[in-house]
Amino acid sequence: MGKIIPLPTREHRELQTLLPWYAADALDPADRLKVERHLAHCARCREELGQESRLQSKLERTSFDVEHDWSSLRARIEGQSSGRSPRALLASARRWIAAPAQPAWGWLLAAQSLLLVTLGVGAFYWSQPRYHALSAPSPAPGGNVIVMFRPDTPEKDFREALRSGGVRLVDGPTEAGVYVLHAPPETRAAVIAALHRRREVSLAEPIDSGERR
Amino acid sequence: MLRKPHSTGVPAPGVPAGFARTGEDAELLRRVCAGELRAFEALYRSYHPRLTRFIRTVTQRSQIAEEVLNDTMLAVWTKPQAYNGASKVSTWIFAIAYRKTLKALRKWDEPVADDFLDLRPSPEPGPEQQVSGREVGEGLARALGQLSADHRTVISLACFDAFNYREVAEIMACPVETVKTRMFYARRHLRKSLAAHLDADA
Repeated sequence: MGKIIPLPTREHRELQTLLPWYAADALDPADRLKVERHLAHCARCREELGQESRLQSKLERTSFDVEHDWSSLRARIEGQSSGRSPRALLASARRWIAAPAQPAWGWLLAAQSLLLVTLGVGAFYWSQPRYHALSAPSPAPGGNVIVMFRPDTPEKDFREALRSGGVRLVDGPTEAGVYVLHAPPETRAAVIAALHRRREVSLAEPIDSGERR
Repeated sequence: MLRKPHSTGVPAPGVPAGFARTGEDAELLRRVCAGELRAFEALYRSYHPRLTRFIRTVTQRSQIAEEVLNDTMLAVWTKPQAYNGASKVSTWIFAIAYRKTLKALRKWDEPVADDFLDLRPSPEPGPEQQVSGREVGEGLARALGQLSADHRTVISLACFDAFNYREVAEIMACPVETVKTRMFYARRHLRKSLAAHLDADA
């Protein structure tokens, strides 16, 4: 005669589904008590819980780089032209222009290094007597104005705004959407005033980035 | 073992209706409502590890995790008033993260649900895999990858963040029994896939 294996009770089946939650410490006190009462007299569930606990300990491991992602979101927040202070945008752009030395901004450091090398070569170049061929392009001036455009600005208006007042695009856009311009020093104030009058411009401010004279 | 912060649920005197809950998260969120970036940064830093792991576990794509995480926290920053105090702040934030994650998966044309998981044979690791799979992490990642996004969601919320099944059901907007069933089959699948490692630890 074959051995009769008792079918699991309803309570056993219900409690079995709670074991993974128990192992993960994700049960409220009432459920936890129910499981513990059942475990006291159910060897099968105790064995099952052993497996669940070992799996749980395998699951609990990992580490992440909060700095990198936070920098990225902060740039997005500071770059929002609507609803947040222009001062924050300006500070962000100035930090970017000046010297971004945050460890997570590896690409900016690389760009900064490149800029330093370029400036070094440039300093040597400009310290030499100048001989300009007629076709030689003039060296790019440093930025002295930053500007931001509203997100829906058509390209035509964008180009028109940059062309006015003899300004030149030096750099940008940054991650926050800031452009760096160079305006002739004698007309810089007028250029900024003209930019302020344009509907598509959300920010236009002077910066002093050590302009060559 | 991981622990999550628990709110008491007791209303504090003078707190607006939407913020009847007390606790550090609720306090930070209240300050976020006032546009305090420092409070938001504290909230961001506190949620970053948990949300990152959640999104990475569910999507299985680390390259989109940052984008989804920041979209989630940007929603918290721009609409903190949407929190009505009916649940814990963490449940509210993870529900946003879950919706953003599903949206990202749809963009990648990734199947979200697999209600037939319990009917599928669980791929047992062959002897070769057992010998070469020295790293448990690799085996775990592989096994998680074989689950559907919904099963991975339940695993992540329960096993990494200790949300109970009612909270998981709230985050995923589905019945409690569905959550329990998903958890049961997902854990069974993981146990089968990691059997060699688990037996070695016994």
